[in-house]
Amino acid sequence: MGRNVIVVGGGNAALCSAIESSERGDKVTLIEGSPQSSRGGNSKYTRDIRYAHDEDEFTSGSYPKDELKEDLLAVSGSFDNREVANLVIDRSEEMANWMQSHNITFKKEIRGTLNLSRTNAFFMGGGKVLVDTYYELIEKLGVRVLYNATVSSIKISKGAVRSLTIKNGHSERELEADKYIFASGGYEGNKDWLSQFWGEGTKNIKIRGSKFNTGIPLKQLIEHGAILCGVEKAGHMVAVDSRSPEYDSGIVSRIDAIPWGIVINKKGDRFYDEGEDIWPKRYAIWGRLVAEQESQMCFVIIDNEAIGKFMPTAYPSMDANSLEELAAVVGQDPDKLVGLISDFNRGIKKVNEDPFNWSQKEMRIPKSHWAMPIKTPPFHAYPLSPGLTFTYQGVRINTTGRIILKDGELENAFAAGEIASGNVLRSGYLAGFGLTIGTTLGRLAGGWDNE
Amino acid sequence: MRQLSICNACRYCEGYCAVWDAIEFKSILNEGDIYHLSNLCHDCRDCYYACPYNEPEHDFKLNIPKVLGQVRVETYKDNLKPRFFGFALEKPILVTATSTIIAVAISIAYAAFSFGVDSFSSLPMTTVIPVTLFKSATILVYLYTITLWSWEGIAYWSKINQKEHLSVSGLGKGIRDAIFHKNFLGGGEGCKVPNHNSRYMRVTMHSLVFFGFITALVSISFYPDITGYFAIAYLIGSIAVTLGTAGMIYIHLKESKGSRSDVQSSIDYPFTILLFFAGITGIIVPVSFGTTLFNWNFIIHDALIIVVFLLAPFSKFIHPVFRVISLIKYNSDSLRLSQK
Ligand SMILES: Cc1cc2nc3c(=O)[nH]c(=O)nc-3n(C[C@H](O)[C@H](O)[C@H](O)COP(=O)(O)OP(=O)(O)OC[C@H]3O[C@@H](n4cnc5c(N)ncnc54)[C@H](O)[C@@H]3O)c2cc1C
Ligand code: SF4
Ligand code: SF4
Repeated sequence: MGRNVIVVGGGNAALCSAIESSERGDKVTLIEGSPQSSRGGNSKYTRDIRYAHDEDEFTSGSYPKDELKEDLLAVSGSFDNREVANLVIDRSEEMANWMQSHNITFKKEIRGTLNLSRTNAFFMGGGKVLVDTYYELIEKLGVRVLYNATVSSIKISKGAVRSLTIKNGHSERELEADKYIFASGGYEGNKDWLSQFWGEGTKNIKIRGSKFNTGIPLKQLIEHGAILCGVEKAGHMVAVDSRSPEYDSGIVSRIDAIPWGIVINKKGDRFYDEGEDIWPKRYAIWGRLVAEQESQMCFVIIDNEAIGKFMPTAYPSMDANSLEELAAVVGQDPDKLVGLISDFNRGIKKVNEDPFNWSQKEMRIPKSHWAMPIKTPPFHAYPLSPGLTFTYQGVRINTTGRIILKDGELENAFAAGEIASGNVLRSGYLAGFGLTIGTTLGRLAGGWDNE
Repeated sequence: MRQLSICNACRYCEGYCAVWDAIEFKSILNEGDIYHLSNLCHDCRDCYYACPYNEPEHDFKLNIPKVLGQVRVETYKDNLKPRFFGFALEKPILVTATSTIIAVAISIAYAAFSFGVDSFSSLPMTTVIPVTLFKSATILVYLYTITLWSWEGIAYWSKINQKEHLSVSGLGKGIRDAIFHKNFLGGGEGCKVPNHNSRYMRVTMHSLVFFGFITALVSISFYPDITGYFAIAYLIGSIAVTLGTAGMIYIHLKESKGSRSDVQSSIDYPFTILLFFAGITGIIVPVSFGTTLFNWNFIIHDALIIVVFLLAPFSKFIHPVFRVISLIKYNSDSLRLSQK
């Protein structure tokens, strides 16, 4: 009550902790590194949440905690911090109602082709509306919001944060508070940092989220001896269209045509089973696969039969009436491409009418499902690049939300959202859980029955 | 086209209005589809505020309500009949202002020359505007508007129709959606403009104009019997139109942000302002009953209403026609797909 609180970040986790803190009577200042017009970090690109629930009006059925836990373990292998993971799972139950009582509208109607999902609830308008709604709310609650204000360093001594240095253009100042909440996301927008893992190739990686997520507070905490959670090198990477902008392409750049065709690298070779039966659960592997190819550039090739089977794309496909022409369009050797596709078409085994059961097992690299022959012109290609969604590594926290350094907890500093998601998901990703981690840990940091 | 392909890959705005469902029915959009979508949009701006890829900051530079608004004006211009009146949509402010001034001037001249300025105000209403004149003028004006509207509506329909069949229930649902402003509710979220607390302002204001206009139209058709209940109905209708148009203008002014195209504003404003004045003079009609003001106000009011109808096929007032047709198509498509 009545404390001065600084929240670092301007996405979902930061906003939820600002709401929770000021509802509890704290005086909150929120520091967002981006300008007002691009506020909201990666959160502005989201659209749904995954949470444990009984039957409710936002989903098509119940989703018990145990099942949620199994699903999390299936993607990440194990928990880096079991207590915090359990806490997030437990508290996710209250989340949809809390969001609704804070002005978020969920879709209830089944309109158009949308079917309600059992595990995830979709909110109206997506993440931009989510963050704008919360910003409108915190302004009413009297939270002070500073835009274009980047935390550039953190002073820590004797087990507590003492002050923050805030950069605003060329001017710098120190800010002090009684309590600090770090909700500044991952470091996916920091290409220097990423190049430690991806070297030269980093420049070819598309960042799907906010270019303001440079992870400086995270780096500072690491330098102060924070214990880490989550796999270091990896991040969530999917295949995106190479023509998309370097940053902030959000959801629209993704290409999910891969199971319906074949993928070749720059040399014109296939390199991985496009029909592995993991789709769509882990279509994320394709980001990494593309990143490992020369120039981080590949093509997915489909024929006209595949059109309409995958999500529409933001950019038009590259088209040609013959495979030779298509080879020219995508800069490949025509003979090699024609040879590859005729080999591919020749060995296809169709078990029944369902293309799921069609396979091509004669090639060195098999295609185990959806092996549809590529023979109906016009042929289409999409250029693929790796698209980084977010990084996994973050700081370890305890069940009060406090950050743990090697020499003990920081009594007045908390972490929430992506910067702490490694506690729950060390690698891999379960759709809709990023916001859940941010909302529950954000509220926890803000003082949700924590006093 | 480019902008809507991005939406097609995104679809976060699904649920706001019929546009987004209609996009979901398709995976590839052609020109007729875009024409259709543009008239399903009622310009609430929800999808603009929801979009993280907007101009000017984002590389994608999206502004869906703006492009749809521009296309919508194109559909008005392309289907305007007879073609000769095309200039009315090119210079809407000039045309609206000039025709209003001319109509008002004619009616004042009529009053002055036929009855004399001094004696005009004391004459009985039915001498000033004889019942037969009123009835025949009304019928003529209605016939004119309905004929041209139908002509334009058919032209528009042939552009957006892609050999799909309309169904009777689609027709019914389309009309019902239009009357009840179903899509104005933003899928339960209301409108972002002006703000969260007044998120139902647009639906309220537009309904006021719509129902007010109909109420006034019905009650005045009993002319010359416009006292008692008819006067009350007319008063209520006119107040609704006045408030509603004022509200619409307020909302338009609020949402600056460069989010609407100038062509569109130049078509919306004159029509809304004209209706606003028609509303004000409409309020004065029953209020001034029995006073010397009555006759003067009444003929000016009639002049304004006639302008509204005369310009109907060449102004913003095309929108109900195209919108209802679009909603009928939308509902037919939607029923057909859900049966599959
Ligand atoms: C395309 C895409 C789609 C996604 N879809 C979903 C989905 O549907 N559901 C879901 O649950 N998750 C989704 N995610 C994941 C989700 O976006 C994240 O898990 C979640 O938004 C993280 O929230 P956050 O508040 O921790 O971080 P962010 O929302 O990224 O916010 C970080 C904030 O910190 C600010 N910041 C960074 N550095 C500094 C600094 N030094 N000083 C001051 N401020 C700073 C940034 O400007 C930003 O505002 C998606 C991600 C992407 C990229
Ligand atoms: S307007 Fe923006 S958020 Fe809405 S569907 Fe289109 S791209 Fe997506
Ligand atoms: S502005 Fe409103 S009515 Fe128009 S497309 Fe967007 S959400 Fe639909």
